[in-house]
Order: sequence, then structure tokens, then C-alpha cells
Amino acid sequence: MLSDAPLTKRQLGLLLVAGGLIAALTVLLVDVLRASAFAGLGPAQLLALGVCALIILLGLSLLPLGDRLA
Amino acid sequence: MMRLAWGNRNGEESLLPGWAKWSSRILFVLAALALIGQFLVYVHYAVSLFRFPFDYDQGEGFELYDVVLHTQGVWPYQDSQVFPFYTSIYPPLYHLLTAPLVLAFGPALWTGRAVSFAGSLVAAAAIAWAVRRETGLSLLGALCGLSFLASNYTFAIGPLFRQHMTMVMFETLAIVTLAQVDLNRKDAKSAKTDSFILVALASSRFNKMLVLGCGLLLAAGYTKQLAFATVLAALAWLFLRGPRRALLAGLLMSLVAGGIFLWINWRTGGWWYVSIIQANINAFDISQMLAFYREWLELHAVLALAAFGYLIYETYWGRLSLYSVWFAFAFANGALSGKFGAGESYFVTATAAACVLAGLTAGKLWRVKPQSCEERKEVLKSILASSRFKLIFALALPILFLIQTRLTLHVYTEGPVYGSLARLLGVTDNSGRGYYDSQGYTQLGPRPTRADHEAGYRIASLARNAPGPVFSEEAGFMFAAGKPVVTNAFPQLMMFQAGLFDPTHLIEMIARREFGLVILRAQFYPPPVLQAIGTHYRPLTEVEMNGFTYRLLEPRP
Repeated sequence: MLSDAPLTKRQLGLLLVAGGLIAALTVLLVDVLRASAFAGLGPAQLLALGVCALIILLGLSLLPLGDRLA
Repeated sequence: MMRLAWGNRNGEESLLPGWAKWSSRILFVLAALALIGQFLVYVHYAVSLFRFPFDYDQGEGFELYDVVLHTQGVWPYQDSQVFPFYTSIYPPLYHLLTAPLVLAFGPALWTGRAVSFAGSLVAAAAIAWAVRRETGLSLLGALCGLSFLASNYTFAIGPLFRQHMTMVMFETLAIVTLAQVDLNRKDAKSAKTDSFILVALASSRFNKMLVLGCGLLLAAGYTKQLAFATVLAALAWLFLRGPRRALLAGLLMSLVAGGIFLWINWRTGGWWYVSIIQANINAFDISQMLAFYREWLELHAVLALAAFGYLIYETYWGRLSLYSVWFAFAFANGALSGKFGAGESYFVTATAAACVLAGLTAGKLWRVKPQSCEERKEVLKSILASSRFKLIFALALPILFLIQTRLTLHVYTEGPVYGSLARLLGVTDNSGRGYYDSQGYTQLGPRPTRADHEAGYRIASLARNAPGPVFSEEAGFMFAAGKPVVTNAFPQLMMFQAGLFDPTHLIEMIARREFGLVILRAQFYPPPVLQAIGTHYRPLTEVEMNGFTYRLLEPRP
């Protein structure tokens, strides 16, 4: 059964990295799944990718904090 | 005053020299007076709107019509492609809360405005209480609560017949309630040893607060869809503190919310889903979103800096509190202000969260004690615990509240009291209607004048005397004229853009000149409808009201 122990900074960091990567992939797949008004990446997609990159960087910066509670 | 602000339990005030104590007290009095002054302007604005019987913000009258339909046992989620071409795109809770007032006093716009205004006061009180609870500092809590009410955005929409402020009230109450739910609490410890389900269902203060908090989140969501960010924030924080319990809470909330959703959708023949979900998916404008972010950050610079500072501190050096997670989600949710039809109100939740975090930041900085510096090499803590820092901070904090109040300053500029006050503050009318707002020209904020009242009654009189139904972009006139409410302009435009509204029947009625009068303000109707009106109706007169030109048209012969 899923643990009910509080998450650590490292676990939160991993979740943010994973979440950021999944979100970035989803943003990139928008062009594949439905037609966009822009050839290539549109401004909204670029902005969303920037936000995803920030989330990934935030997650990476939490990894060294180890087992301290998030 | 200082004692009220800082308490005196830990003797921090005793670190200050006498002149600094008095200087700080005087500055706190000035900050409190400034915020109380802004609050009085807010009350004045609210009372002015309570007395104004017509739409002040476009769409208020349609919200009132939603309430009326609920009091008649009719769902407002309907097929808007047939007469009376009406549907609502908002959930029902705010309308249901207003229904008793409408049943008691009749269909008047003051009812919903009073509910919304009361909601803003409750949210401010919850912010003050949360800061007081977390820091033990009463005046600090009061200043944070008043800062929320002093925000230009809270001021502008607080007393409107809109569900937004009631949503913010439920969000704030939910967060303040759930912040007490912590698996490390004594009454939650049994969760680690007993059967999880049994513990989850057991009657304890912990579970009661959890259920109450989740209930308030559901209430926020069923007041306005935008609350989903606060729901996610609360579940994310619960997940950080106890994943199992968070998933169970999320599952139960989904079941309840989904059950209500499916039930209403069944009762409305599917129009609930079309109106609430599909009609709210609109075109997105990045430049609009960035403009709103920039404006919010400029107007709330002090609160935003404190909130981001506290968020960063808890992320790297402390444990994330629910308030920090809430602020992060609410600030991110501001991105939806780029939607067509969205506005500054999308940042009110972020303002509420920022006010709480600003209070926590101040409390945290003040309460750093010399003994908390375990090692001499903790330079920052040593600085924060030093009497010199306490001295600077005791003087700086009220000044920061004063700066924040100046950033969000909004005041009337005409009349013996306001005129003198405006001159004293060095501000002049920037709305063209005797009102200064630090965000620049704004449609919301000026008080309706006697001329606005007379203009409203004139339009209502023309509507009353017109034969048959009246096609009006605002429903307030219809209540005054005793005419049925026909069409809901803005949702119709959004649904047309989304391919959800076929205007054929409406255009046929317009072509047959079945409407005795047409009243337009912003002309937020689908282009084919406006074209049909232009073809079959001719200008009758124009009336100025609340800074807008109302164009009245009559059937062409």
C-alpha cells in the first residue's frame, strides 16, 4: 500500500522533474495531435515550454536537499 | 500599538530603544489609518452600488436572472438557440446563496452585491485570522486583511453581483481550515498505526477539519470553475504531507463533485456541460495575460516580493506550508487571464494568498531569536536576530504597508472631503468620473451619479413602453421594466465563437421585428446577430450611463 509518510525535498524534486518533462512533451505533441495556427512552435507553446523548463530546473535544484521534509 | 502588532510574549519589543518604539508605533498608526481609509472608500463604493438598481458591470443582471430562475425551480442551463435564447455559464452555488434574499426582497441587484461584498469581508477576516494564528500578532493580521480589501482588484469587483468574490471567500476559508490539517498533529498520529480506512472515517478533530476543508473547496468550485487551482493546491499540499490520505481525500472529492456534476447534467439534458465547460473554452491571448501579470506585480509589488520570498524560503530552507503552495498555484492560475473575456479578477485569489504570506514573512523575520542561531557561522540568522535588524524592521514594516497602500491607492476626487483628500494625496481624476485609481483608467470604481440613476430609469421606461419582448444586452433594465429577460449577450458570443450557438432562430425573430426595442452597450453579440439588428432596426436614441453609451434601436417601418 502507498506510504503515508511525508515527501522529502528529493522526492518533490523528482516529481517536479517528471512533471515538467511530461508537460513539455505534451506541449510538443500539440502540433502532432491537432493543427496549429503557427508553422512550428507557436508563442503560447514557447511560453509553456519555458515554464516547463523552469519547473524542471526547480526540481533539479531540490534533489541535493535529500531527505529533508518538503 | 506596537504591543498589538508584535505581541510581547517573547520580549522582542524590549530590544528596541525608546525613540524607536514610539517612531514605530506612530508609523503603524499611519499605516492602519491609511488602510482603514481605503476600507471606508470601499464601503462607500459598495453602498453606492447597493443603491443603484441597474447593471453597473455588464452581466450583473443576468446573474440576478439566474437567481430568479433558481427560486422558480428552473435550471438556468438551457438551450440558448431557442427563445428566450438564454443560458448561464456559471455554477449555481452563489446564485443559491443569494436566492433567500431575492425570495424575501424581490429581484433586486443589491441582493447579490451584498452577498459578494460580505464574501470579501469574510475572506479578509480569514486572512487576518490566519496571520494572527500563525504569528500570534493581531495587528499584523488586521493589516494583512485590510491590504487584501485595499487591492484595486478586490475593490473593483467586491461589491458586484458576481460570483467571483464568493469563490475567493470559500477558497480562503478552505485553505485556512486545511492548513490546520497536518499528519504530524497529535490527533492524527493514529493514522500511522491503525487501519487507514478506519482512521480516515473515524470521528476526530483532524478528520472533521479535513472534511470541512474539502467541503469548502467543493463549495468554491461550485461557485466558480476558476477555483480548481485552489483545489489542486490543497490536494498537492496534502500529498506532500501524507500521500495516502491526500489520494483518498481527492478520490472522495471527485466522487462527490462528479456525482453533483452528472446529476445537474442529467437534469438539464446535457446543457450544464455545454454551458459550464464547453462555453468557457475560449481563445487565448498571451499579450493580454502578460499585461495582467505585469499590472498585478506592479500594483502589489510589496506583497508579491514578500510572498515570493517566503515561498523560496520554505522551498529550500523550511517545509512548504499550504499557504505557499496556494500562492504558487494561484499565481500560476493567473495565466488564465489571457482567455477571451477574462480579466483582472483572475488575480484576486493570488492577492489573498500573497496577503497571508506577507504576514507570515513579517512574523517570521520578527521572531528570529538569538538562541535560534545554533552556530556563529549562521550569519544570516545572526543578522536577523540582532537588535539592529529589529530596529530597522520595526520601522520598515509599517512603511512597507504604507508603500503598498500607495501602490493600490484608489479614491474619489470630488466633494468637500474627497476633494481635499485627493489634493492632500496629490492625485487627480483619471477616470473622467471623479475617481482616481493607481492602475489608471478603469471602468469599475467610480460611483454612479444622480444622472446615471436618471439615465437608467429613462431606458427602463422606454423598455416598459415598447411592445412585446425587449432585446437587451443588460437584464437590469428588464427587471425595472417588468419585461422578460431575453438573450445573454457575452455567453452567446463565446458559444458562437466555439461553434456551440446557432443564431438562426434569433435572427428570424429579429427579422420579424418581434422585439419592441433593442438596447446595446458593448455589442457583445455574434456578428450575424448584430448585422441582423442593423438591417431590421434603426437608431432611436442614445443614453449615457456610467461612462457608457447605450444605443437604443426601434424596428424599422
